[in-house]
Amino acid sequence: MSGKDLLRRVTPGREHIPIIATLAVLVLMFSFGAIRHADRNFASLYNIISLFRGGAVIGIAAIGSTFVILSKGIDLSVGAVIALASTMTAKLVAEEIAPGVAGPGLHPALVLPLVVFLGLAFGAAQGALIHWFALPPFLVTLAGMFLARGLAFAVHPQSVTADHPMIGRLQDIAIPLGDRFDLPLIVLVLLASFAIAVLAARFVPVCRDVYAVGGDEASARLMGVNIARVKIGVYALGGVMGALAGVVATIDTGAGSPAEYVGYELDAIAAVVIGGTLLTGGTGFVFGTLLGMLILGLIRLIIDNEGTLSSWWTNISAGVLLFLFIALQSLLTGVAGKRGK
Amino acid sequence: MADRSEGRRGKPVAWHGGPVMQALIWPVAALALLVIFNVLFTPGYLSISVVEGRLSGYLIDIFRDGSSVMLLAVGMTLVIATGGVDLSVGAIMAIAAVLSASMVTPEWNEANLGGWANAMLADRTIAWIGVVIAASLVASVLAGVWNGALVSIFKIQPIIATLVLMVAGRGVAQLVSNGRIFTYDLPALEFLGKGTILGVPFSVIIVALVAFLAIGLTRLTALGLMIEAVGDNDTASRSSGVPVRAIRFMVYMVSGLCAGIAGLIESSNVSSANANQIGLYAELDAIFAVVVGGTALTGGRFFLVGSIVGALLIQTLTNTMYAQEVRPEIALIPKALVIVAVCLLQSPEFRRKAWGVVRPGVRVGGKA
Repeated sequence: MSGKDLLRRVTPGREHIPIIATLAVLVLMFSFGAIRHADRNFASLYNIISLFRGGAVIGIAAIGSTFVILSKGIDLSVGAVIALASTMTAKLVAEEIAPGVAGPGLHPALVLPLVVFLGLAFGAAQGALIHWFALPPFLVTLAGMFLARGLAFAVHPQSVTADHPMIGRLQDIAIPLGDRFDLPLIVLVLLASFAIAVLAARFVPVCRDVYAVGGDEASARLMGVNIARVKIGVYALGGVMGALAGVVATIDTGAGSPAEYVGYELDAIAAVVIGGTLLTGGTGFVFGTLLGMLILGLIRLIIDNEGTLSSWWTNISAGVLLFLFIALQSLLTGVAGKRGK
Repeated sequence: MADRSEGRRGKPVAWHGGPVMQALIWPVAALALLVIFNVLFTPGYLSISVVEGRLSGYLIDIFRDGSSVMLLAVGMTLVIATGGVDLSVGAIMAIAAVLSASMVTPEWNEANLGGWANAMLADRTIAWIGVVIAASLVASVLAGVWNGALVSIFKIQPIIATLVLMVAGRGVAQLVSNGRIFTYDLPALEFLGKGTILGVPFSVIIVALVAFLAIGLTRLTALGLMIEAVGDNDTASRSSGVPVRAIRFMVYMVSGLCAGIAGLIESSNVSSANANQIGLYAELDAIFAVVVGGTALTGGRFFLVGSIVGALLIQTLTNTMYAQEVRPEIALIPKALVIVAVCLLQSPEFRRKAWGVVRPGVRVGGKA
């Protein structure tokens, strides 16, 4: 690789503007919190780890949403799929569901792949309806959301404890950071998923096809891209990541609940958009979604630290940030569109 | 969409009838199936009796419980006809509901409006409730203005533009009430959801008025044509003098207004307003009602009557579950399956493939 080539690769282009803005917002917000709450040790390693830990379920699921949105689709079923996966995992591994009631007590090594595979099947079915019958994505995934939520309640009507010795052992997996903190399994899964997804988006041909389909489906078809594989694939990935998020959430909390994770699809979409991925499809970075997830977590953390602000300010600030990023995007795409003409 | 455009050009495919009939056939068939199911399995399903001067029965319940979905569906139809969608209606319902419940709570008035409001609440209750309703509806219309501005001025895709208010709206509602859930005991305000006129639920009368007004204004004037023009081709409409920006603004304002009325009805039904509960998932039901009713999400044409039928269909389904004593959470499963089934039946792509396989040679909608 020549020097010029290298320079071009590391120089930000216009497609990088949203992600740079995201990074700037993240740094500014963190500095704000660190200075304002210096007395409360805001910039501590503990807070940073808890940002990752608290955002992990949304972050893992949002990887799927990123690819779906890159393909110009949308997946509203995420939250319900997480709930379904967590309830199924907890119920299948539980040796005792209620006092005196024996559960299936299956080994997690069997249950975890099974649940993730069901997530794949669920997502692929949504993708098939969307692609083959040209149904609108948000309607299909909306129905998927109802279906998964209903199925979760059918699996078990209340929260169920994942009562299996192996779950406890999985909870103990952690990488120590210094002598006081460690990275729990859920954060490791989050970081590993993002590492794989970032690399895949860049180097795996099918993942790059997602950008082509999201940018212009007709052109992509003419270029010989297998549209069916891409479109069904992104929703299948959405199902897999939703199920994975549900599985690790069950391991982390030691329980699965059919009533939890409501609205997580919106948080995932917000993380994707704040992370600089255009909702019009075709432009964006998986890494940005990680930043988006951290920003959503930071909003919560700062509001918690303020103490006087009520928790509903979280919703409002998330909405305002979402608006700012969308406005920035529409400005950028507007300028780009005019240049194109 | 080949079949529809052929119908429009006056060459309807044999058994289809006009585009309106064509749009209505599936939801009406589904509704009929559901009613037949209920007649078979729910004793006394069709009977309507008069209890304490008000009509009562399963069929009446569908109309009464479905009034907010029907209202939302009317506004949503117009938005979708312009090629948009309004995801924020549930949040707007919450804002209107919480504002109305707050304004009839003396301590909230004391803190936010001053003593004059409470004096008016005590002395001229009816007039004050008029003010409360007006304020709630103005707030809802303002929410619509916000959506309209994002869509028509900032040119943001409607799904995303209205997502902002969907995320932030419930926060705004909680900000109004300071996170509290106010309950009230005011027959005049409760009349919206619980009252009856000549035995007919007042909320159903409101729906009928709004629906007739919407159908009249869009079908007897050029307004409906303009809305369809905007949804069909933005640029061509602008070139031919259609006030595209104003039309876009208007449909989101109407949708906000409908959501506001629905929010007032919902909260007066339970005499309280919980910002986290009022209108939760209402946007989904409304969009479903519209799509089932034959209005395409791509915009360009709309069927208000179809949307009303769609709203009744989803409410009938919900009430059927209750009658069969299915737990509300489990009831989501059949709801999802019906949504997918009806959407599939309406998808030209599905009909072409399914019919093409079953009866090769007979293609619904001709060339595709």
